[in-house]
Amino acid sequence: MKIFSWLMTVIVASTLSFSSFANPKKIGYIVNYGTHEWYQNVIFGLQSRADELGIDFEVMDANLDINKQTAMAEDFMTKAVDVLIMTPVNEEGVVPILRKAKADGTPVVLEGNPAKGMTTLFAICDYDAGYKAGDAVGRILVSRGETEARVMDVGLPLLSATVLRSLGFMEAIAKHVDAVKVHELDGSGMIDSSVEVASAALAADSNINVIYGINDGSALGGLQAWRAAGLPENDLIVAGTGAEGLAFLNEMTKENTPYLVEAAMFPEGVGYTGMNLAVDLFNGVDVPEHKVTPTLALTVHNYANYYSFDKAGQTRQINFENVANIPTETKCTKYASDL
Amino acid sequence: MLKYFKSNESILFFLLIILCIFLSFYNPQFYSIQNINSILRSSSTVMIVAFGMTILLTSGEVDLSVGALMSFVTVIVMDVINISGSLFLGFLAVFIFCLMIGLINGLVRTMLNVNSLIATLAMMLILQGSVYIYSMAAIYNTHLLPFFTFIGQGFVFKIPMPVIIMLFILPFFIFLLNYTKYGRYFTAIGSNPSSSSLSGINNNKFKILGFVITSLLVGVAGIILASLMDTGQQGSAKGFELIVIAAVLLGGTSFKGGSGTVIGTILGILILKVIDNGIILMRIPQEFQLVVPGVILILAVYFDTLRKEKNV
Amino acid sequence: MSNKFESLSLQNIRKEFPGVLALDNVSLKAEAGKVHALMGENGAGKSTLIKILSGAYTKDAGNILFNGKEINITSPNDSLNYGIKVVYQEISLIPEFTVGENIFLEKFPLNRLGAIDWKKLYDDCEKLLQGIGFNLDVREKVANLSISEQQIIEIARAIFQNASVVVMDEPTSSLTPKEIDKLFQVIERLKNNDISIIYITHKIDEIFKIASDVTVLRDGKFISHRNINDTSEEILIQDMVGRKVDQKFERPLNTFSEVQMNVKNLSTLSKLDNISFKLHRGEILGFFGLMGAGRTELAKAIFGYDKILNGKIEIQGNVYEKFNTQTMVNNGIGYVTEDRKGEGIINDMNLRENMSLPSLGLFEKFLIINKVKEKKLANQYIEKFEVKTPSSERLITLLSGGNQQKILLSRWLLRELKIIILDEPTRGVDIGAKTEILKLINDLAKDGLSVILMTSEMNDLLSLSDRIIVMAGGKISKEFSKDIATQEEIFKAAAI
Repeated sequence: MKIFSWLMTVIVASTLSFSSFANPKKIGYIVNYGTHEWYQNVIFGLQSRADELGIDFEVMDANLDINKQTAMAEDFMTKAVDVLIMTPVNEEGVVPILRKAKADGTPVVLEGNPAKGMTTLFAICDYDAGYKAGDAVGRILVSRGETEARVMDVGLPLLSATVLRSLGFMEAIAKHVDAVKVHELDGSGMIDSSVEVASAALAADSNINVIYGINDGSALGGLQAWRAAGLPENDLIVAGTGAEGLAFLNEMTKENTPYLVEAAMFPEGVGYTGMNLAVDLFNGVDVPEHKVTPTLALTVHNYANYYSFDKAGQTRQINFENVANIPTETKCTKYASDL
Repeated sequence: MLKYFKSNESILFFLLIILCIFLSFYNPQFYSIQNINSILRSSSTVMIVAFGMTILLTSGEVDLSVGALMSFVTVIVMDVINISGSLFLGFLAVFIFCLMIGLINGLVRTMLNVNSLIATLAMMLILQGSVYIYSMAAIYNTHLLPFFTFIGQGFVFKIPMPVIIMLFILPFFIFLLNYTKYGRYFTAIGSNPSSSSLSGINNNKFKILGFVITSLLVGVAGIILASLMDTGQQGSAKGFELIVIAAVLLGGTSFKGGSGTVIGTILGILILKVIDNGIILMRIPQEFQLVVPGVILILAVYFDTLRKEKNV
Repeated sequence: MSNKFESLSLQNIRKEFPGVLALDNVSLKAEAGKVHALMGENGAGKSTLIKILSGAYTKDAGNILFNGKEINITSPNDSLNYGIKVVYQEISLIPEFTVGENIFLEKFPLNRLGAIDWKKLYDDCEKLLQGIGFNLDVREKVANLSISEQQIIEIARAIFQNASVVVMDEPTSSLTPKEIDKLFQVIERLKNNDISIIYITHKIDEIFKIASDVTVLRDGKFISHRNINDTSEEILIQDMVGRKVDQKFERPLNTFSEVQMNVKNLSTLSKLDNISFKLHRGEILGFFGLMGAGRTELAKAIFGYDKILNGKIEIQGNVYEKFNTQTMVNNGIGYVTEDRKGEGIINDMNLRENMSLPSLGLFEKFLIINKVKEKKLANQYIEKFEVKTPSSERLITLLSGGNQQKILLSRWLLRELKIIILDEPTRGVDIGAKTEILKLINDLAKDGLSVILMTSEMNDLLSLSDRIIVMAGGKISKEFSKDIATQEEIFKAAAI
């Protein structure tokens, strides 16, 4: 794979040298919450692609502070970056930055959430990611001869993105078997709060055969609550979302684990796609308003195509090529506005 | 009605009973072993840390760094056991680390004379930041030692292990606060520091001790949490310090120091946790998990003042 | 007030709290241009009466007449509207404001533009202060003034607010004799301005100087109203205490040989400068000094509460240069503070716990405190000192000042003690308890205890002390033996 990417770099570089396009020299990225595993991997993807293209790439962390993000954007403009990539801290707060960048002549690419006045955005489709996981779970249920999915949804009802995931998951399962959402929980996206709320919910009603988590922490929290309640794992299916870090790989590769499905969002792939989009924008190529990044339901059988996982060393290596080859929607099936 | 409740504990106990009766009417599942275990298990980590916080608040201090420390502990314990394969070394590392943090908190409070609200707030920020210096990524259980899993998730005679651990620690604190001179000293220091010093008590020594005890208890709670999550997770136990402090205050300990009981603290925690549980059982939007305890806390403190006024 | 103030009378006032009859049929008449003293032991009902006057409490029964007409006081506002102004023991001025700003706080004079007219404010203020015979820089910050000056500013504020009746609650308790004289001069001026003064005090000698009438309360009941010319100190004490009190005790001339404590060249950062003295076994060593002389600082430095800069303390052969309160307590030293509320009692504890705090080791067995033993000893001391309480388990805050002081004394006496440092042991203690405490000190010294007695009560100092050390400005200014000490000489030495 390394040889391949090296070859790719050579080919791409040589092609570019003959084309009229030139690579941007400097690209800046303002992440909204850089300490999170997801963004660590997004940054890794951006950096990987920037290295391949020989672009000087710099990251700043707004740490969920919109004022910081504004100041950092101005900083990047002063440094005269060729393209500015941003994950908005919030959708309103980023609008003045976009206006300022337009006046300054700095092209901006957004990640994750759209904002008024933006040119282009790269992001996953939350609904479709959830849907793919639900579809995979549905198939397993059918293969087991089950007719009903009783779901505990360890969600995050305050965010439209995570609500879309849950919705996609439920609607996909319903295509295969009867789907009942027994618990709709708020696990704050954190493993410890998820354990706590799921414990209480399971105490009230543990007649469940599917646990869905809107991210890896939520799914794992739900599963840990199940284990702490001493419930049998034979008939349970756990599905998580994100493939943010090593959590799902660790759990999925255990023997007899109920953690069977992961709606992978390939954060490294998101970064990789984003960098390409930034280069395109710089070169004046016609870019889509929303560039959808690949998602896929991973199971223990197919994950190795996309991630090589070193369990002892606790590292994972993404296969950018295979991820890039995943058939991807040009448009999401549902958006926040459809809720 | 107030005259029937001579002590804060009896008010809390009454409140707890009412809550339980109400919830069991609403959902008979409330009294299931599973549910009671779930309440007790999630109470136990709060209780363990709250024992220390009761001592601290009684002696007029507070520790805001417990949540951040707890999250740090989950990372350390998982990492050290992963590397060494030894539970003992993992625990040792945790307790040495906690001892150090407690000592620093205590010394900053007493030697540098920094208000503990500020000193431990600073420690909270330091811990929250430095846990990412220690490791950017969450640390997963690769040692797969069965006893480690047992600590948070296991049962003994159908009682969850965290509850058993809490019950092991509890008598020590009841004993300490009610039957030894140290309990009196903590009260004296919190109620009137000049007076206790003028009675020959070394205030600083006991304050440092309070911080160290609290940090060590956070070590215990953090190990339980790591086992329960099966992960060393940065940013876990978010807001834990506030739940602990709210429960201790609800239990009748004064923020100004001087009075506090372990039993009150336990009742305070049970009330908050039963409310949490009830909100999920009744399928009320979970945002109320923050709202209801806030309201109850204000009411409890108000009733306590009313009762004290009547007594005087 | 447009109509001239003549008199304010309280008639048959009754006030009941749950379980306590605080005031039972109490009457008092304050007349313009006169000082009416209100006396009684702690808990007699003085404060309740004042709080009814000031509108903090409402009376259950009885009448309040202003110039003979019945009025209603239901709030502090009502009270202020009738010109009733209470000057409390605790100063309620804003320290960072100037004298002028504090006096005119409620009603700053404004100029045409609506801004504060500072010139008028300070001019008026100067006139006002001169009117009561008081010269003071009106632009000075209150924080920089002495307590007595602050008290006078409080009074000036009352006058500015058109006071008809000024209630003074123990105004002299923290004043020096000189300051007291100044205050009395101000009171004379107020009398001349037809203001009536209700004067609350424990100090009997004061009322003979300024009051024309005296009313005594006891246990919430009206006991007597006498013209000052028809009464005497003995009669008043008997009225207050309800029995005859023997104020005399024997303290013959003694000589001492065995040195218990030797303080050498003690200095602190705060104030003390090279203090040296010896304390003998069984001796009562009196310390006198005006405010700021450094007595309390000395007590705290010896006891290890304040850090010492240099010097050392020798106690029975052991020399200490670095020590804390624990060291001193372990050496058999006890300290009773002048600030009972702030540094003495522990509010959240009952009598027993307050008493046993430094001595918990006595009741300890295998780390457990033997509460039965503890209670027994506590009750022994409660009985011995006739502390008025239903039980040792009562919260200490529910006791009167005198009884609290007895508990604080017991705190040290129940353990093995060699030296006791008493800082104003009779401050705020009513007369009955006071004589008991003084007698106790005498008895303790007879038993071999060394006593350091710091007091501003000249009579107590002279009658009890075997030697008297006078302090001024953080230094020892003079030492007197019992036989040559006189009030005049002591004041002279203190005023250096």
